[in-house]
Amino acid sequence: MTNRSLRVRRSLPVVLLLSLLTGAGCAQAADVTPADTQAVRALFLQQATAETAHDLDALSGMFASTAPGQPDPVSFVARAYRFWGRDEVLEHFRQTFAGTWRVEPDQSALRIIPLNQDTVQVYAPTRVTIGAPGQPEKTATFLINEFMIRSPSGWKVAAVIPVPAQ
Amino acid sequence: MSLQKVLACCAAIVMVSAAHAEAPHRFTDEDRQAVEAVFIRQAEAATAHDIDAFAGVLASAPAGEPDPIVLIARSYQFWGKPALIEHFKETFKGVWKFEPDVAKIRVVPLSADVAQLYAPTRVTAGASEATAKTASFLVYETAVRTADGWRIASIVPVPAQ
Repeated sequence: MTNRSLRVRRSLPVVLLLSLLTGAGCAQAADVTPADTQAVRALFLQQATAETAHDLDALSGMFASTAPGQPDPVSFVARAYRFWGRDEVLEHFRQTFAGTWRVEPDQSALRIIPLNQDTVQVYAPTRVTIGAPGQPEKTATFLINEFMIRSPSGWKVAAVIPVPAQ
Repeated sequence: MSLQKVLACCAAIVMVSAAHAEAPHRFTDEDRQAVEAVFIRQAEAATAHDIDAFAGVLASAPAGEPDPIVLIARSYQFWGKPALIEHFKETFKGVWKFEPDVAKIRVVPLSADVAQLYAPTRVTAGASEATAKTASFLVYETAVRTADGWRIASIVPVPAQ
């Protein structure tokens, strides 16, 4: 064995250790696990329950919160209105809850699509019954898309994008 | 290997690890510009009916990883990149123009590595120029940071009317 090949052989453990450690440093966090999927599904259904119950406090706890100075990821893009930021979205729901508002997702059609390890898309065809205070209510189906993000206090709702089904 | 070399390797490990720990996790103005740019490339590729360029702006999941590509529209839903590309191959045989109002594009990070993008967009579609119709959509998309840069994942066109 030459001196050079001996040096290479002796270096291998260090090279291996280096690649393992640096690889670990670069690796992404754990994937979206079945437990995450269950948590996201549960959050979506709890959100539907809170909305139908007009429970703004419960709903507020389900939306993402960011520290001052950080970008606010909460948004709501619909045909009739757009809201940007947690405060605008919650104010919208506060006003909506003064009238009729019921959401009934088709749980059998609910899908969860990971975008990366910390962000998922939720899709659920959902019957929404809406009416201004004192006005007749109407029911329509929407293809609800939501984007949820992992936070230190669990999964939270960030974006709500309802597509009218008709 | 001498003790000196072992120490040098350990120092290198610490430095490389620290660099990785600090590097990725902030959404910067450059990220915002890159997300807007990839969306504009998507629009140009769609209007040019360039399916290869269109496929290139969409995220590709590594083997064994979930495919994040989704298109949810009123009239159809597609799950996964192969289904979406097949849909646009057919669509591009007819009239298809995708014209975002660039001045109204909004890019807001969902996290350091995922951004949401909103753009009011005129879409002209039809089997022929004679039958094509134009409609406005509030296009909502997400983009994900990949090893090759930002790529589009979700496409959700909300009809404006």
